[in-house]
Amino acid sequence: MTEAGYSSRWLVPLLLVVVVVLCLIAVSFGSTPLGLSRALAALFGGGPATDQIVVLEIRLPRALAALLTGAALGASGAALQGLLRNPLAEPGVLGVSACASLGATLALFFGLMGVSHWALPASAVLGALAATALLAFMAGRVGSMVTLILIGVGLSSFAGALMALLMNLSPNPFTLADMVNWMLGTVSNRSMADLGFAAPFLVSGFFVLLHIRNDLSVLTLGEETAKGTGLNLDRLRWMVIIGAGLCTGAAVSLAGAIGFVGIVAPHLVRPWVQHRPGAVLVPAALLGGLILLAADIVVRVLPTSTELKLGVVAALIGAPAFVWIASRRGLSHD
Amino acid sequence: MTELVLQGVTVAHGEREVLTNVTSRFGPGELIALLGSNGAGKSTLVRSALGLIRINSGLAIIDDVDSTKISEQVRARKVAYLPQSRHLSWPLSVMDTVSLGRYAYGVRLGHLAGSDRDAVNGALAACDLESFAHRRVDQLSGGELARVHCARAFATEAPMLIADEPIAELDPWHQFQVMQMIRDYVNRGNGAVVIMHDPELAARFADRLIWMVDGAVVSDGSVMSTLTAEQLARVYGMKAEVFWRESEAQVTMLGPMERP
Repeated sequence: MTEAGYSSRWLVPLLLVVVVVLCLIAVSFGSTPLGLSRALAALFGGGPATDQIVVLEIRLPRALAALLTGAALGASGAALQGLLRNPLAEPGVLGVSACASLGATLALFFGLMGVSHWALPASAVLGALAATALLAFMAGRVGSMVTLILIGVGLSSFAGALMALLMNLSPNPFTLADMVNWMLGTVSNRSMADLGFAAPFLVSGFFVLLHIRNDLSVLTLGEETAKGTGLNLDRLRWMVIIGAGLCTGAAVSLAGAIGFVGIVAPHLVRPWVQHRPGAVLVPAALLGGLILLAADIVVRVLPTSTELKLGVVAALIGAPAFVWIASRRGLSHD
Repeated sequence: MTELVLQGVTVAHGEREVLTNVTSRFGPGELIALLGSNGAGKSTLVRSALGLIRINSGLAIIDDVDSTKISEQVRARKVAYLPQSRHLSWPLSVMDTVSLGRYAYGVRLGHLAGSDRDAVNGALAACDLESFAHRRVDQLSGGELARVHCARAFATEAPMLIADEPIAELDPWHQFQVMQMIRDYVNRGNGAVVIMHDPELAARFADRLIWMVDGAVVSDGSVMSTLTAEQLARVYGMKAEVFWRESEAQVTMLGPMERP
């Protein structure tokens, strides 16, 4: 008997190849067309200095920011869906992204970026951790996924209201513009330094989530049966809170609020890994990264007078996808 | 060989006691049927024996150790648990679902090897599921799904099985099939505690019957000695007749007794 289909064996290598190809496209195309050979030369430190600046200081950090943001959201979505045993769970829907954005907005409002570069990613991560902890706590009490999603909607609205309040009270138009840009979600003008500040949170969160892949699978049986089968549920809850909190917080600190990637990526991957909740994690991260990277390339090459924000495009595509997934599933699993 | 012991276990939800001072012992080589009306505390009894719920007083002991002090993994290797719910959150394959029974041994889905693979294949064979191994669980009938869950519990190869109404919602043919699988499991030297609602079926398959009323054990003994019309009246509030044809019991429920 074969245990894993060929599809799941080739999925991760295939996604990796596509990621590399898209990265090459991302550094080659843009307002200054370089072509693949010049972009490759610049990538490895050759060619004219202007090419190197365009590739290494503008396009590569931007492409990596899109990739890492998508990957973090894809992994968080997969982990939250595994923990809550529902494909509608996602950092955006559950208000985790909004709370991370609130954390980031607070850092901007109080000018904490002047104090330390770590202030923004750290406060975004703290916001996300607070939200995941609240949700995991509520999940144990309410038992109904619909109720939990409604709590997430409430959490999201409340964080949104507090952000609106901060904008209302904004001390000057520059801070207000910073905050608005944040809420729309974008990866333009990201530097390697920005990536460096988000990376420790993102990487550690991702490893925490990788560590609990197998535990997510056994949770398919339901909480009590999984416990009876040997699962330490409290430990798993904490690991998902910490892992998804770190990943989502880091993603928001890099790109602002970008929704629905965390729901679409795991959903698309699931049939290819025989619906195994643990096996969804890595390909969902890769696909999430890939989706945002592709969307960002489109945003850059579209001939619009003002560049579209990545978060706006993600929501325009992601929200209908959410409705589609929700309507196909109905309420049968509540 | 594993032994579960309950010593004066009491469980309360708020003011209300749902399990009152229960003392019992479940060992190897015995199929024990736990009988009682809805809300009599049967599920609470087995869940407290497993350490899945908090006990207010008394002790639940698994192999001489307090069940609350055993790690989930060690406990799962000693006692397999087959709860009432057969719902699966994701449409896994039958093979994957049965493989989850090896979770306590660190098995990853899709990466079965050695003794884990033997255990899963053995459980699939014992439950006549080999031809279903690659079907998705959402494409199975209720009876097939019940067998999948039995196979998952058997795949753990734990010396003790606790099953909470494993034959609920099954037709008579499937009820017999599942009970026979549990009987075969016990005949291989294991122990089992099975919650059920059919005294006749319990009498046919079990070695020992434990009867519960309002959170307390009111009778515990062999089938012949405890399956009586008086017992059925006390436990279910039903007028009944019990006939014995050699060692097979025939129970006829005549109707509910008038409540005072």
